[in-house]
Amino acid sequence: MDYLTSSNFNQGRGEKMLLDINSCFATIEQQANPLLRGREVVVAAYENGGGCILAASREAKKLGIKTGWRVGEAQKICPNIIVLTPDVEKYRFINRGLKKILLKFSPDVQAKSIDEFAVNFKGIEGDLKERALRIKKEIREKLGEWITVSIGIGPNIFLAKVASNLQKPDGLTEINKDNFWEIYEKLKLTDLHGINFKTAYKLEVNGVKNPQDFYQCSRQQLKSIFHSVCADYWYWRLRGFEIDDKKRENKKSFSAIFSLKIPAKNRQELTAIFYQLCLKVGQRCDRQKMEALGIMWWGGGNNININGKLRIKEGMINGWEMFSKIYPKIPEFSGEIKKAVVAIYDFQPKSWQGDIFGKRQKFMRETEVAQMINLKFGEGTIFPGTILNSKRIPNFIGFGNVDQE
Amino acid sequence: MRQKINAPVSVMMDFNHYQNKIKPIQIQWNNRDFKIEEVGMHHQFYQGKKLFHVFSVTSKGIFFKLVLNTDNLFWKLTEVADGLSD
Repeated sequence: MDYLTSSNFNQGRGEKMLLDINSCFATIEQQANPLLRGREVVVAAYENGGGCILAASREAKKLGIKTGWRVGEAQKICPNIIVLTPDVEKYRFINRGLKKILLKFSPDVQAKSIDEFAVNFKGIEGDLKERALRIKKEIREKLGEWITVSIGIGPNIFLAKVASNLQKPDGLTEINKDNFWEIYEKLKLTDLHGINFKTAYKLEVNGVKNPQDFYQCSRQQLKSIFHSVCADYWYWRLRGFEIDDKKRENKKSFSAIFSLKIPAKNRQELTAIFYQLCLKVGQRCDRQKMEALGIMWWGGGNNININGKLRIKEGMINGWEMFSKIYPKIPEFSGEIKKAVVAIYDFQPKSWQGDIFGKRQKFMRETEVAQMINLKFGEGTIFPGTILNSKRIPNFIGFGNVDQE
Repeated sequence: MRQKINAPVSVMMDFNHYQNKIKPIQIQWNNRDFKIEEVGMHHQFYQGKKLFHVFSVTSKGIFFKLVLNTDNLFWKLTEVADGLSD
């Protein structure tokens, strides 16, 4: 047992740190508006009862209100709860501010999401706990006294993430070769980041009841459970070896999805949504200096399903071109579209060629000028006449890699 | 109660060149003066090439969101709230 519980674990010092802003959006709103501090606040996609809660303040969480609930459910528990809609610019500002602070401590800082950063201290001498306390102090001074972070330290990003979840809010926890076994004893399988209920069930039916059992599994046993390379990943993760910090490979597809507060009831309204989604994916594609050969779109609601897929030989270089390809394919319909998605795939390096009659060159020049005007005067200054009467999609924040935003 | 508005507002600012700190100290809105008690947050954003500074402040139990357009140096009051639910 001693062999299994200690000598297999990474013997090096913890050099990875993970910071997580506690109740991110709600805390930032409380920082901005001191009158909200100490009150039950939620930030939701929409203010009405059906709006999905994106963040709940510490006070709301104490009442049991959780992220992902509907506003109506929270109002049943706390009728006086304050419901706010996201102020994206504020959150991005805090995200940039936090990154600036972290870069003073290490040059290797990776934004994992809008409220989460991983910091690598490899090759940097000094006590990481002392650094973590200095980071917390600087956050209080530079970003605001109400904004707190939970910090986890570990030999790899995975264990640093597990550690950051152990103490909330304003926590500081380290997982290392001396305490990992006691910590694994206290955790459930679903407390491990990346293990959902389905995977936990799969592990349990194979006799793996808790993280300690999981740790003791041989690579062969894990392979028979996962049937994939994930078995090796889990084997090394649990032993504190880094396998999650590989440079992100170029994306194979980009997608943008939008749930509509007011359903689209006709072709014109749906067209406007698809236009905004095309611009979003087009911008991401443009930043990668790629052009897309494939595009798919989908709009759905109660008993209605509009979708299509196109492959274009010459590649699409911006959102306008993507929109011009799908616009003629959007049919007239009756019903209510509640969700819309646009995805692009099959990328190749941007090197577009014009056509012999110069039609494409003209289109590209026009859209380039339109993009420059929008960049100078703000998004939406110039837009296609086809969406003239429709409302714009609000600027939204994706829950994932912020580098794409 | 929270109300989004878009009204011009008069703002008195203080710039401390020793600390390089700037903060609004008083506003006049609807013919009433409000002495700023606390600045909760100061952030910026771009709309195209235009830079806007946003000050989230409180006075007399009221929250004000003040936006400075650095293009023309005009101030706008974009939000008023009392910290209670709607």
